[in-house]
Amino acid sequence: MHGTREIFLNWGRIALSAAMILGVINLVLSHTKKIALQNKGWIFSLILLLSFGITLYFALPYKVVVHDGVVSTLKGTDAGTLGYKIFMNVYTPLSSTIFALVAFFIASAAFRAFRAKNFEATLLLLSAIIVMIGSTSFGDMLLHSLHLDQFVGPYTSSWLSNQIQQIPMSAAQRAINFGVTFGVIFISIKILTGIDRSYFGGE
Amino acid sequence: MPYIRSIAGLTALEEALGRATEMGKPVLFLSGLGDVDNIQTLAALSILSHVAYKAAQYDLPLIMPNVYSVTMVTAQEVIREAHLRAGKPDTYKPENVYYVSDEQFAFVAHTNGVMERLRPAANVYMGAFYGESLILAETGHATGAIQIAGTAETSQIPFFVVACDYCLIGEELYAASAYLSKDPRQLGSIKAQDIFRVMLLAVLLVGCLMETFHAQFLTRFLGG
Repeated sequence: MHGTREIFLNWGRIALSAAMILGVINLVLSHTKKIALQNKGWIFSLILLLSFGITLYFALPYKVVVHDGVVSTLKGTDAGTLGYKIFMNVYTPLSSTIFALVAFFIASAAFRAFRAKNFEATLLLLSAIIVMIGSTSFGDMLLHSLHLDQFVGPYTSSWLSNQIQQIPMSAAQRAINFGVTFGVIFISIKILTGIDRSYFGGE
Repeated sequence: MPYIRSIAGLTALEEALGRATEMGKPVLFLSGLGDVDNIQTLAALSILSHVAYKAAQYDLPLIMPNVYSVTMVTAQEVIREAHLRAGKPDTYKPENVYYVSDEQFAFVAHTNGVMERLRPAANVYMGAFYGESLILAETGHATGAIQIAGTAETSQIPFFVVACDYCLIGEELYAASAYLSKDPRQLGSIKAQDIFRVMLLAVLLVGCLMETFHAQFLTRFLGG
């Protein structure tokens, strides 16, 4: 049984590799067409193809090294190679930069969302304030500076923040997860039995 | 026909496509960051079939960047079939459904660029989204597009609820195909889902009461 599983997993890996080639071909063809037709933004397509070619040239090499009778393989993406350096010094900082935009977008989304225009929105605003303040040491510092910590005892802002996250928030997440689980089961049955064929172009 | 309550996000799809037609701008559809083995991607492709059919009827360009090439090929087939069903096979453009990158933020950077350059009138985000959900939704909001999202990723639902005009929460994504097709068999499966949910709720309540009074029979029976 274990051997059969390994066979299927290997077939899956081979199919995935073929799918990668399909994606690369589509990428190269679509951008080459854009450059050939000199469509708007064709220079970016040229930069993309050049970057792709350079990275592939340095990352693809694969050689067998024999050292003191020991055979080992060196891939273009192993630590210390230029392919590895391109990934760590070019791709990773770029990826981190895009991810860092989330911080600014959270601020703009929060500015729009946290408005006390009705009861539910006010409740959301208050919960957000309590959780944000309680998640940092600022909440406890504020209580201490106002000399309220002796009155609240163990029920500090961080305790309150944890309670909100552990009780109502977890309850809501679990409720959504219950629904999702049933949804997955039933849509899987519909797809496997052919009742729903729209994902493959049917009606 | 079983009664299914109205889902605002799905009803708004028609409105979004109508808006895009009036403005003469394209529609952007994203099926998330999952491959075809992800059930959320399959649910998204089911919704794509209906969106593409409407877009074909209205002669709307439908732009769909993809993270995985297998999803790209499947989506191309779905959209081509939709154009055939609408009686407009010549309006299908395969270059509008293309592969971008397997890497999460490379895909996001490209999609943000598409939103800024093409300024689609409607953005539809259906499927598995992760850390990039807010980046996509906020950029779409900044371009003035009407945005409809749907995901089963509980950590990303709040971001879509805040930043998008309509959001399908969790199981609504999976019910969408049945809702849009109005097929009695599929609508019946949603009814069955509701019945199972009521049964689960009953078991939960009984279990909570039993645990409160230290009667652990049900816990041991279900837990093994």
